[in-house]
Amino acid sequence: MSRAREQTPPIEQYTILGAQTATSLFSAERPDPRTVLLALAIINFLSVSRLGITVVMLSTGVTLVALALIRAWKAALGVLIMQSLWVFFILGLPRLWANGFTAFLATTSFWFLQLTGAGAIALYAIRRIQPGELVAGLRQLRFPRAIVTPLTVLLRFIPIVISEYRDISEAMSLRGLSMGWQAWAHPLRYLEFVMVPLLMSCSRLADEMTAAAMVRGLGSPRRPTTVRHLQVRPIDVAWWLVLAALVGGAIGLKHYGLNLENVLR
Amino acid sequence: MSDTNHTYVKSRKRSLDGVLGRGLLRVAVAKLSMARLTYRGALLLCHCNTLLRKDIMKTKDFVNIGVFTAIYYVIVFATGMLGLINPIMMFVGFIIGLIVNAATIALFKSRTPKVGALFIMGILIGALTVLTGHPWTTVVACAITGLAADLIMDRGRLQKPIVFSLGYAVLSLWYIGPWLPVLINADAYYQMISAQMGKEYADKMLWFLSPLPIAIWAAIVFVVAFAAGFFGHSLLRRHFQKAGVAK
Repeated sequence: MSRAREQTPPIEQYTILGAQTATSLFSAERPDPRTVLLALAIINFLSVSRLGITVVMLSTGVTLVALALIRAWKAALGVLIMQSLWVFFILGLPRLWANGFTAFLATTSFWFLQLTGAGAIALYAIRRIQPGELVAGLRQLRFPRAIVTPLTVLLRFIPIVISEYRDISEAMSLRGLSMGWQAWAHPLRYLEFVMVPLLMSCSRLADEMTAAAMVRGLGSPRRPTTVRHLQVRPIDVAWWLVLAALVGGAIGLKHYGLNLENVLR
Repeated sequence: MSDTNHTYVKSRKRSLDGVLGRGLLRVAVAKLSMARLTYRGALLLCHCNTLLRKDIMKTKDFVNIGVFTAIYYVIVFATGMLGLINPIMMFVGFIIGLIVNAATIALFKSRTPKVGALFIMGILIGALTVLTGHPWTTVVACAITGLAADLIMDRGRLQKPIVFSLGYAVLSLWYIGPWLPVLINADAYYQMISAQMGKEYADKMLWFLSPLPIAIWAAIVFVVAFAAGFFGHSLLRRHFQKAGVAK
Protein backbone atom coordinates (compact mmCIF):
# COMPACT_ATOMS: atom_id res chain seq x y z
CA MET A 1 0.00 0.00 0.00
CA SER A 2 2.72 2.44 0.98
CA ARG A 3 4.50 1.73 -2.26
CA ALA A 4 1.44 2.77 -4.24
CA ARG A 5 1.26 6.02 -2.29
CA GLU A 6 4.91 6.95 -2.86
CA GLN A 7 5.16 6.25 -6.51
CA THR A 8 1.78 7.01 -7.98
CA PRO A 9 2.08 10.09 -10.16
CA PRO A 10 -0.79 12.62 -10.14
CA ILE A 11 -3.97 11.64 -11.91
CA GLU A 12 -3.49 14.18 -14.73
CA GLN A 13 -0.26 12.52 -15.74
CA TYR A 14 -2.03 9.19 -15.98
CA THR A 15 -4.63 10.48 -18.38
CA ILE A 16 -2.15 12.36 -20.53
CA LEU A 17 0.50 9.73 -20.88
CA GLY A 18 -1.67 6.69 -21.39
CA ALA A 19 -1.70 3.30 -19.82
CA GLN A 20 1.67 2.06 -20.97
CA THR A 21 3.69 5.07 -19.89
CA ALA A 22 1.77 5.28 -16.64
CA THR A 23 2.67 1.70 -15.85
CA SER A 24 6.33 2.29 -16.57
CA LEU A 25 6.30 5.42 -14.40
CA PHE A 26 4.55 3.51 -11.68
CA SER A 27 7.34 0.98 -11.53
CA ALA A 28 10.35 3.11 -12.40
CA GLU A 29 12.30 2.17 -9.29
CA ARG A 30 11.36 -1.46 -9.27
CA PRO A 31 14.04 -3.93 -10.36
CA ASP A 32 13.28 -6.51 -13.00
CA PRO A 33 11.51 -9.54 -11.47
CA ARG A 34 14.29 -11.75 -12.79
CA THR A 35 16.85 -9.76 -10.82
CA VAL A 36 14.75 -10.19 -7.68
CA LEU A 37 14.53 -13.92 -8.32
CA LEU A 38 18.30 -14.08 -8.78
CA ALA A 39 18.80 -12.20 -5.51
CA LEU A 40 16.34 -14.53 -3.80
CA ALA A 41 18.16 -17.62 -5.10
CA ILE A 42 21.66 -16.40 -4.21
CA ILE A 43 20.84 -15.06 -0.76
CA ASN A 44 18.72 -18.09 0.11
CA PHE A 45 21.56 -20.37 -0.99
CA LEU A 46 24.18 -18.39 0.94
CA SER A 47 22.02 -18.29 4.07
CA VAL A 48 21.36 -22.02 4.05
CA SER A 49 24.84 -23.17 3.18
CA ARG A 50 27.79 -24.43 5.16
CA LEU A 51 29.58 -21.10 5.00
CA GLY A 52 28.82 -20.15 8.58
CA ILE A 53 27.30 -17.35 10.55
CA THR A 54 29.31 -14.45 9.06
CA VAL A 55 27.95 -15.06 5.57
CA VAL A 56 24.41 -15.26 6.91
CA MET A 57 24.93 -11.93 8.66
CA LEU A 58 26.40 -10.33 5.52
CA SER A 59 23.54 -11.47 3.33
CA THR A 60 21.03 -10.37 5.93
CA GLY A 61 22.75 -6.98 5.89
CA VAL A 62 22.24 -6.71 2.13
CA THR A 63 18.60 -7.70 2.55
CA LEU A 64 18.13 -5.12 5.29
CA VAL A 65 19.50 -2.36 3.03
CA ALA A 66 17.19 -3.51 0.25
CA LEU A 67 14.19 -3.53 2.60
CA ALA A 68 15.13 -0.07 3.87
CA LEU A 69 15.42 1.26 0.32
CA ILE A 70 11.85 0.24 -0.44
CA ARG A 71 10.90 1.79 2.92
CA ALA A 72 9.60 -1.46 4.37
CA TRP A 73 10.62 -0.22 7.80
CA LYS A 74 8.49 -2.64 9.80
CA ALA A 75 9.78 -5.70 7.99
CA ALA A 76 13.39 -4.48 8.22
CA LEU A 77 13.06 -3.80 11.94
CA GLY A 78 11.49 -7.21 12.55
CA VAL A 79 14.27 -8.99 10.69
CA LEU A 80 16.92 -6.96 12.47
CA ILE A 81 15.50 -7.72 15.92
CA MET A 82 15.12 -11.43 15.19
CA GLN A 83 18.59 -11.79 13.72
CA SER A 84 20.20 -9.91 16.63
CA LEU A 85 18.34 -12.16 19.03
CA TRP A 86 19.61 -15.31 17.32
CA VAL A 87 23.16 -13.95 17.12
CA PHE A 88 23.00 -13.13 20.82
CA PHE A 89 21.82 -16.66 21.60
CA ILE A 90 24.62 -18.13 19.47
CA LEU A 91 27.58 -15.94 20.41
CA GLY A 92 26.64 -14.01 23.53
CA LEU A 93 24.58 -16.13 25.89
CA PRO A 94 26.76 -19.27 26.08
CA ARG A 95 29.70 -17.05 27.06
CA LEU A 96 27.78 -15.35 29.83
CA TRP A 97 26.06 -18.42 31.15
CA ALA A 98 27.39 -21.73 29.90
CA ASN A 99 25.25 -24.78 30.45
CA GLY A 100 23.49 -27.45 28.47
CA PHE A 101 20.35 -25.44 27.86
CA THR A 102 22.16 -22.45 26.34
CA ALA A 103 24.17 -24.77 24.11
CA PHE A 104 20.98 -26.36 22.87
CA LEU A 105 19.51 -22.88 22.39
CA ALA A 106 22.60 -21.87 20.41
CA THR A 107 22.18 -24.84 18.07
CA THR A 108 18.52 -24.20 17.40
CA SER A 109 19.23 -20.49 17.05
CA PHE A 110 21.73 -21.22 14.30
CA TRP A 111 18.98 -23.02 12.42
CA PHE A 112 16.56 -20.14 13.03
CA LEU A 113 19.23 -17.64 11.96
CA GLN A 114 19.50 -19.39 8.61
CA LEU A 115 15.72 -19.58 8.24
CA THR A 116 15.27 -15.90 9.08
CA GLY A 117 17.99 -14.99 6.57
CA ALA A 118 16.11 -16.92 3.89
CA GLY A 119 12.79 -15.45 5.04
CA ALA A 120 14.02 -11.84 4.93
CA ILE A 121 14.90 -11.93 1.24
CA ALA A 122 11.58 -13.69 0.62
CA LEU A 123 9.84 -10.70 2.28
CA TYR A 124 11.65 -8.39 -0.13
CA ALA A 125 10.72 -10.56 -3.10
CA ILE A 126 7.05 -10.62 -2.11
CA ARG A 127 7.01 -6.82 -1.81
CA ARG A 128 8.77 -6.21 -5.12
CA ILE A 129 7.50 -8.86 -7.51
CA GLN A 130 4.19 -8.30 -9.29
CA PRO A 131 2.58 -11.52 -10.54
CA GLY A 132 2.11 -10.27 -14.11
CA GLU A 133 5.70 -9.09 -14.38
CA LEU A 134 7.00 -12.33 -12.91
CA VAL A 135 5.15 -14.36 -15.53
CA ALA A 136 6.36 -12.06 -18.34
CA GLY A 137 9.92 -12.30 -17.05
CA LEU A 138 9.80 -16.07 -16.86
CA ARG A 139 8.42 -16.20 -20.40
CA GLN A 140 11.33 -14.06 -21.57
CA LEU A 141 13.70 -16.46 -19.86
CA ARG A 142 12.14 -19.20 -22.06
CA PHE A 143 10.71 -21.07 -19.10
CA PRO A 144 8.61 -23.98 -20.39
CA ARG A 145 4.87 -23.54 -20.75
CA ALA A 146 4.39 -26.40 -18.30
CA ILE A 147 5.73 -24.14 -15.53
CA VAL A 148 4.56 -20.68 -16.58
CA THR A 149 0.91 -21.50 -17.30
CA PRO A 150 0.23 -23.26 -13.96
CA LEU A 151 2.11 -20.45 -12.20
CA THR A 152 -0.13 -17.83 -13.80
CA VAL A 153 -3.23 -19.71 -12.67
CA LEU A 154 -1.74 -20.38 -9.25
CA LEU A 155 -0.97 -16.75 -8.44
CA ARG A 156 -4.47 -15.78 -9.52
CA PHE A 157 -6.10 -18.62 -7.62
CA ILE A 158 -4.58 -18.35 -4.13
CA PRO A 159 -6.87 -15.44 -3.08
CA ILE A 160 -9.85 -17.30 -4.57
CA VAL A 161 -9.17 -20.35 -2.38
CA ILE A 162 -9.06 -18.17 0.73
CA SER A 163 -12.30 -16.36 -0.12
CA GLU A 164 -14.00 -19.66 -0.96
CA TYR A 165 -12.97 -21.00 2.44
CA ARG A 166 -14.45 -17.91 4.12
CA ASP A 167 -17.71 -18.33 2.22
CA ILE A 168 -17.92 -21.99 3.20
CA SER A 169 -17.33 -21.34 6.88
CA GLU A 170 -19.99 -18.59 6.79
CA ALA A 171 -22.43 -20.96 5.12
CA MET A 172 -21.61 -23.61 7.72
CA SER A 173 -22.32 -21.28 10.61
CA LEU A 174 -25.60 -20.22 8.94
CA ARG A 175 -26.69 -23.85 8.86
CA GLY A 176 -25.47 -24.50 12.39
CA LEU A 177 -22.68 -26.77 11.22
CA SER A 178 -19.72 -24.79 12.50
CA MET A 179 -18.37 -26.96 15.24
CA GLY A 180 -16.07 -24.54 17.04
CA TRP A 181 -13.68 -26.26 19.42
CA GLN A 182 -15.63 -29.51 19.00
CA ALA A 183 -13.95 -29.77 15.61
CA TRP A 184 -10.91 -31.03 17.50
CA ALA A 185 -12.96 -33.96 18.80
CA HIS A 186 -14.14 -34.99 15.32
CA PRO A 187 -11.43 -33.71 13.01
CA LEU A 188 -12.21 -35.98 10.06
CA ARG A 189 -15.89 -35.05 10.14
CA TYR A 190 -15.06 -31.35 10.25
CA LEU A 191 -12.50 -31.66 7.47
CA GLU A 192 -15.05 -33.44 5.31
CA PHE A 193 -17.55 -30.63 5.87
CA VAL A 194 -14.99 -28.06 4.77
CA MET A 195 -13.04 -29.88 2.10
CA VAL A 196 -15.87 -31.35 0.03
CA PRO A 197 -17.55 -28.03 -0.87
CA LEU A 198 -14.17 -26.32 -1.22
CA LEU A 199 -12.79 -28.85 -3.67
CA MET A 200 -16.14 -29.10 -5.45
CA SER A 201 -16.40 -25.36 -6.11
CA CYS A 202 -12.70 -25.07 -6.94
CA SER A 203 -12.89 -27.81 -9.56
CA ARG A 204 -15.96 -26.16 -11.06
CA LEU A 205 -14.04 -22.87 -11.13
CA ALA A 206 -11.10 -24.66 -12.73
CA ASP A 207 -13.31 -25.86 -15.59
CA GLU A 208 -14.72 -22.37 -16.13
CA MET A 209 -11.29 -20.85 -15.91
CA THR A 210 -9.92 -23.24 -18.51
CA ALA A 211 -12.59 -22.16 -20.97
CA ALA A 212 -12.10 -18.45 -20.23
CA ALA A 213 -8.31 -18.66 -20.31
CA MET A 214 -8.15 -20.60 -23.55
CA VAL A 215 -10.27 -17.95 -25.24
CA ARG A 216 -7.68 -15.39 -24.16
CA GLY A 217 -4.83 -17.51 -25.47
CA LEU A 218 -3.39 -18.82 -22.21
CA GLY A 219 -1.23 -21.83 -22.85
CA SER A 220 -0.65 -21.00 -26.50
CA PRO A 221 2.90 -21.54 -27.70
CA ARG A 222 3.28 -17.90 -28.79
CA ARG A 223 4.67 -15.44 -26.31
CA PRO A 224 2.15 -12.71 -25.46
CA THR A 225 3.13 -9.05 -25.53
CA THR A 226 3.37 -7.22 -22.23
CA VAL A 227 2.26 -3.78 -21.09
CA ARG A 228 5.45 -3.04 -19.23
CA HIS A 229 8.66 -3.25 -21.18
CA LEU A 230 11.02 -5.40 -19.13
CA GLN A 231 14.58 -4.22 -19.51
CA VAL A 232 17.79 -3.74 -17.56
CA ARG A 233 17.64 -0.63 -15.38
CA PRO A 234 20.35 0.95 -13.22
CA ILE A 235 18.87 -0.67 -10.13
CA ASP A 236 19.27 -4.10 -11.75
CA VAL A 237 22.95 -3.44 -12.41
CA ALA A 238 23.36 -2.27 -8.82
CA TRP A 239 21.77 -5.49 -7.58
CA TRP A 240 24.06 -7.62 -9.77
CA LEU A 241 27.17 -5.84 -8.47
CA VAL A 242 26.05 -6.28 -4.85
CA LEU A 243 25.27 -9.96 -5.41
CA ALA A 244 28.62 -10.55 -7.13
CA ALA A 245 30.40 -8.83 -4.23
CA LEU A 246 28.45 -10.94 -1.76
CA VAL A 247 29.33 -14.22 -3.48
CA GLY A 248 32.95 -13.12 -3.86
CA GLY A 249 33.09 -12.07 -0.23
CA ALA A 250 31.60 -15.36 0.95
CA ILE A 251 34.12 -17.37 -1.07
CA GLY A 252 36.96 -15.15 0.14
CA LEU A 253 35.93 -15.49 3.78
CA LYS A 254 35.73 -19.23 3.42
CA HIS A 255 39.11 -19.35 1.70
CA TYR A 256 40.96 -17.28 4.30
CA GLY A 257 39.07 -18.79 7.22
CA LEU A 258 37.88 -15.38 8.36
CA ASN A 259 34.84 -16.37 10.32
CA LEU A 260 33.27 -14.60 13.24
CA GLU A 261 33.43 -17.70 15.40
CA ASN A 262 37.17 -18.08 14.78
CA VAL A 263 37.87 -14.38 15.40
CA LEU A 264 35.98 -14.37 18.69
CA ARG A 265 37.64 -17.55 19.83
CA MET B 1 -5.27 -61.38 -55.66
CA SER B 2 -2.12 -63.10 -54.62
CA ASP B 3 -0.12 -60.44 -56.45
CA THR B 4 -1.57 -57.55 -54.42
CA ASN B 5 -1.08 -59.48 -51.25
CA HIS B 6 2.56 -59.95 -52.16
CA THR B 7 3.22 -56.25 -52.80
CA TYR B 8 1.42 -55.37 -49.60
CA VAL B 9 3.70 -57.56 -47.54
CA LYS B 10 6.74 -56.30 -49.39
CA SER B 11 5.94 -52.61 -48.90
CA ARG B 12 5.17 -53.20 -45.25
CA LYS B 13 8.53 -54.84 -44.77
CA ARG B 14 10.41 -52.09 -46.57
CA SER B 15 8.78 -49.26 -44.64
CA LEU B 16 9.24 -50.97 -41.31
CA ASP B 17 12.89 -51.46 -42.13
CA GLY B 18 13.14 -47.82 -43.13
CA VAL B 19 11.60 -46.55 -39.92
CA LEU B 20 13.20 -48.89 -37.46
CA GLY B 21 16.49 -49.44 -39.25
CA ARG B 22 17.50 -45.84 -39.64
CA GLY B 23 16.38 -45.00 -36.18
CA LEU B 24 15.06 -41.89 -34.54
CA LEU B 25 16.35 -39.43 -37.12
CA ARG B 26 14.26 -41.06 -39.79
CA VAL B 27 11.20 -40.92 -37.51
CA ALA B 28 11.77 -37.26 -36.85
CA VAL B 29 12.19 -36.41 -40.53
CA ALA B 30 9.17 -38.49 -41.40
CA LYS B 31 7.13 -36.75 -38.73
CA LEU B 32 8.10 -33.34 -40.08
CA SER B 33 7.02 -33.96 -43.67
CA MET B 34 3.79 -35.89 -43.76
CA ALA B 35 3.95 -36.30 -47.55
CA ARG B 36 6.94 -38.58 -47.30
CA LEU B 37 5.29 -41.06 -45.04
CA THR B 38 4.43 -44.47 -46.42
CA TYR B 39 1.14 -45.97 -45.38
CA ARG B 40 2.61 -48.41 -42.88
CA GLY B 41 5.06 -45.92 -41.48
CA ALA B 42 2.19 -43.55 -40.80
CA LEU B 43 0.31 -46.28 -38.98
CA LEU B 44 3.34 -47.06 -36.87
CA LEU B 45 3.86 -43.43 -36.00
CA CYS B 46 0.19 -43.02 -35.21
CA HIS B 47 0.48 -45.91 -32.83
CA CYS B 48 3.43 -44.26 -31.08
CA ASN B 49 1.49 -41.04 -30.94
CA THR B 50 -1.56 -42.59 -29.31
CA LEU B 51 0.74 -44.03 -26.69
CA LEU B 52 2.38 -40.67 -26.10
CA ARG B 53 -0.69 -38.51 -26.57
CA LYS B 54 -2.23 -39.76 -23.33
CA ASP B 55 0.48 -37.99 -21.39
CA ILE B 56 0.83 -34.80 -23.43
CA MET B 57 -0.40 -31.96 -21.25
CA LYS B 58 -2.99 -29.56 -22.56
CA THR B 59 -4.06 -26.17 -21.27
CA LYS B 60 -6.79 -27.83 -19.22
CA ASP B 61 -4.18 -29.85 -17.34
CA PHE B 62 -2.02 -26.80 -16.75
CA VAL B 63 -5.00 -24.91 -15.31
CA ASN B 64 -5.81 -27.88 -13.09
CA ILE B 65 -2.22 -28.04 -11.86
CA GLY B 66 -2.33 -24.34 -11.02
CA VAL B 67 -5.67 -24.54 -9.22
CA PHE B 68 -4.87 -27.60 -7.14
CA THR B 69 -1.37 -26.38 -6.30
CA ALA B 70 -3.01 -23.21 -4.98
CA ILE B 71 -5.37 -25.23 -2.78
CA TYR B 72 -2.59 -27.54 -1.60
CA TYR B 73 -0.28 -24.68 -0.80
CA VAL B 74 -2.89 -22.58 1.01
CA ILE B 75 -3.67 -25.60 3.22
CA VAL B 76 0.02 -26.32 3.91
CA PHE B 77 0.62 -22.68 4.78
CA ALA B 78 -2.52 -22.26 6.91
CA THR B 79 -1.91 -25.42 8.93
CA GLY B 80 1.79 -24.60 9.24
CA MET B 81 0.79 -21.27 10.78
CA LEU B 82 -0.32 -23.21 13.87
CA GLY B 83 3.41 -23.24 14.61
CA LEU B 84 3.09 -19.60 15.62
CA ILE B 85 1.31 -20.76 18.79
CA ASN B 86 4.18 -22.98 19.80
CA PRO B 87 6.67 -25.31 18.10
CA ILE B 88 4.81 -28.48 19.10
CA MET B 89 1.65 -27.15 17.46
CA MET B 90 3.73 -26.76 14.32
CA PHE B 91 4.03 -30.54 14.05
CA VAL B 92 0.33 -30.98 14.86
CA GLY B 93 -0.42 -28.46 12.10
CA PHE B 94 1.75 -30.33 9.61
CA ILE B 95 -0.07 -33.56 10.41
CA ILE B 96 -3.49 -31.90 9.98
CA GLY B 97 -2.26 -30.49 6.68
CA LEU B 98 -1.20 -33.95 5.57
CA ILE B 99 -4.65 -35.37 6.33
CA VAL B 100 -6.54 -32.54 4.63
CA ASN B 101 -4.41 -32.50 1.51
CA ALA B 102 -5.01 -36.19 0.85
CA ALA B 103 -8.43 -35.21 -0.51
CA THR B 104 -6.89 -32.44 -2.63
CA ILE B 105 -4.37 -34.77 -4.21
CA ALA B 106 -6.94 -37.53 -4.70
CA LEU B 107 -9.21 -35.20 -6.67
CA PHE B 108 -6.28 -33.65 -8.54
CA LYS B 109 -4.83 -36.97 -9.60
CA SER B 110 -8.17 -38.31 -10.75
CA ARG B 111 -8.76 -35.18 -12.85
CA THR B 112 -5.21 -35.07 -14.23
CA PRO B 113 -3.92 -38.64 -14.25
CA LYS B 114 -0.95 -37.80 -16.47
CA VAL B 115 2.64 -38.55 -15.59
CA GLY B 116 4.34 -35.26 -14.78
CA ALA B 117 1.38 -33.56 -13.12
CA LEU B 118 2.68 -34.09 -9.59
CA PHE B 119 6.22 -33.33 -10.77
CA ILE B 120 5.20 -29.87 -11.96
CA MET B 121 3.13 -29.43 -8.81
CA GLY B 122 6.18 -30.36 -6.73
CA ILE B 123 8.37 -27.80 -8.48
CA LEU B 124 5.75 -25.09 -7.97
CA ILE B 125 5.25 -25.96 -4.30
CA GLY B 126 9.00 -25.94 -3.79
CA ALA B 127 9.26 -22.55 -5.48
CA LEU B 128 6.45 -21.17 -3.31
CA THR B 129 7.99 -22.48 -0.10
CA VAL B 130 11.30 -20.84 -1.02
CA LEU B 131 9.42 -17.66 -1.83
CA THR B 132 7.93 -17.71 1.67
CA GLY B 133 11.27 -18.18 3.34
CA HIS B 134 12.26 -21.82 3.36
CA PRO B 135 15.67 -23.18 2.40
CA TRP B 136 16.36 -24.20 -1.19
CA THR B 137 16.63 -27.85 -0.18
CA THR B 138 12.81 -27.93 -0.20
CA VAL B 139 12.65 -27.42 -3.99
CA VAL B 140 14.90 -30.41 -4.57
CA ALA B 141 12.92 -32.55 -2.14
CA CYS B 142 9.58 -31.50 -3.68
CA ALA B 143 10.63 -32.20 -7.26
CA ILE B 144 12.03 -35.65 -6.41
CA THR B 145 9.06 -36.78 -4.33
CA GLY B 146 6.62 -35.38 -6.90
CA LEU B 147 8.20 -37.36 -9.72
CA ALA B 148 8.35 -40.52 -7.61
CA ALA B 149 4.68 -40.16 -6.65
CA ASP B 150 3.81 -39.60 -10.32
CA LEU B 151 5.45 -42.87 -11.24
CA ILE B 152 3.77 -44.75 -8.39
CA MET B 153 0.26 -43.43 -9.09
CA ASP B 154 0.04 -45.10 -12.44
CA ARG B 155 -3.12 -44.38 -14.42
CA GLY B 156 -4.13 -48.01 -14.57
CA ARG B 157 -3.75 -48.69 -10.86
CA LEU B 158 -4.96 -45.37 -9.47
CA GLN B 159 -8.40 -46.78 -8.65
CA LYS B 160 -6.85 -48.89 -5.90
CA PRO B 161 -6.75 -46.99 -2.60
CA ILE B 162 -3.47 -48.61 -1.58
CA VAL B 163 -1.66 -47.35 -4.70
CA PHE B 164 -2.96 -43.85 -4.12
CA SER B 165 -2.00 -43.96 -0.42
CA LEU B 166 1.49 -45.14 -1.21
CA GLY B 167 1.98 -42.42 -3.82
CA TYR B 168 0.59 -39.77 -1.49
CA ALA B 169 2.89 -40.94 1.31
CA VAL B 170 5.90 -40.66 -1.01
CA LEU B 171 4.79 -37.22 -2.20
CA SER B 172 4.42 -36.02 1.39
CA LEU B 173 8.02 -36.88 2.21
CA TRP B 174 8.95 -33.40 0.96
CA TYR B 175 7.98 -32.26 4.46
CA ILE B 176 11.51 -33.17 5.56
CA GLY B 177 12.92 -30.62 3.09
CA PRO B 178 13.15 -27.66 5.51
CA TRP B 179 15.09 -29.85 7.97
CA LEU B 180 17.75 -30.91 5.49
CA PRO B 181 20.02 -27.89 6.21
CA VAL B 182 20.76 -29.45 9.61
CA LEU B 183 22.28 -32.38 7.75
CA ILE B 184 24.21 -30.18 5.33
CA ASN B 185 25.57 -28.10 8.18
CA ALA B 186 26.09 -30.89 10.70
CA ASP B 187 29.83 -30.31 11.13
CA ALA B 188 29.42 -26.54 11.43
CA TYR B 189 26.88 -27.08 14.21
CA TYR B 190 29.19 -29.63 15.83
CA GLN B 191 32.16 -27.27 15.78
CA MET B 192 30.05 -24.47 17.18
CA ILE B 193 28.84 -26.54 20.12
CA SER B 194 32.21 -28.07 20.86
CA ALA B 195 33.82 -24.62 20.84
CA GLN B 196 31.32 -23.39 23.37
CA MET B 197 30.57 -26.38 25.53
CA GLY B 198 33.49 -28.72 25.07
CA LYS B 199 33.84 -31.83 23.00
CA GLU B 200 32.17 -34.12 25.50
CA TYR B 201 28.93 -32.20 25.47
CA ALA B 202 29.01 -31.87 21.70
CA ASP B 203 29.28 -35.63 21.38
CA LYS B 204 26.12 -35.97 23.45
CA MET B 205 24.34 -33.47 21.18
CA LEU B 206 25.45 -35.38 18.13
CA TRP B 207 22.15 -37.26 18.13
CA PHE B 208 20.29 -34.10 17.13
CA LEU B 209 22.65 -33.56 14.21
CA SER B 210 22.55 -37.13 12.97
CA PRO B 211 20.11 -38.23 10.27
CA LEU B 212 18.12 -40.12 12.89
CA PRO B 213 15.66 -37.37 14.00
CA ILE B 214 14.97 -36.52 10.36
CA ALA B 215 14.45 -40.20 9.60
CA ILE B 216 11.98 -40.43 12.50
CA TRP B 217 10.10 -37.37 11.23
CA ALA B 218 10.09 -38.87 7.73
CA ALA B 219 8.67 -42.12 9.12
CA ILE B 220 5.91 -40.25 10.99
CA VAL B 221 5.06 -38.26 7.85
CA PHE B 222 5.02 -41.43 5.76
CA VAL B 223 2.73 -43.34 8.11
CA VAL B 224 0.31 -40.43 8.63
CA ALA B 225 0.15 -39.69 4.92
CA PHE B 226 -0.35 -43.36 4.11
CA ALA B 227 -3.33 -43.52 6.47
CA ALA B 228 -4.64 -40.16 5.22
CA GLY B 229 -4.48 -41.46 1.67
CA PHE B 230 -7.33 -43.88 2.43
CA PHE B 231 -9.38 -40.99 3.87
CA GLY B 232 -8.75 -38.90 0.76
CA HIS B 233 -9.60 -41.78 -1.52
CA SER B 234 -12.83 -42.47 0.33
CA LEU B 235 -13.83 -38.78 0.02
CA LEU B 236 -13.12 -39.03 -3.70
CA ARG B 237 -15.27 -42.11 -4.06
CA ARG B 238 -18.12 -41.00 -1.82
CA HIS B 239 -18.47 -37.42 -3.04
CA PHE B 240 -16.56 -36.36 -6.11
CA GLN B 241 -17.00 -39.42 -8.32
CA LYS B 242 -20.69 -39.46 -7.44
CA ALA B 243 -21.06 -35.78 -8.35
CA GLY B 244 -19.15 -36.25 -11.60
CA VAL B 245 -16.30 -33.80 -10.95
CA ALA B 246 -13.84 -36.70 -10.90
CA LYS B 247 -13.51 -39.76 -13.05
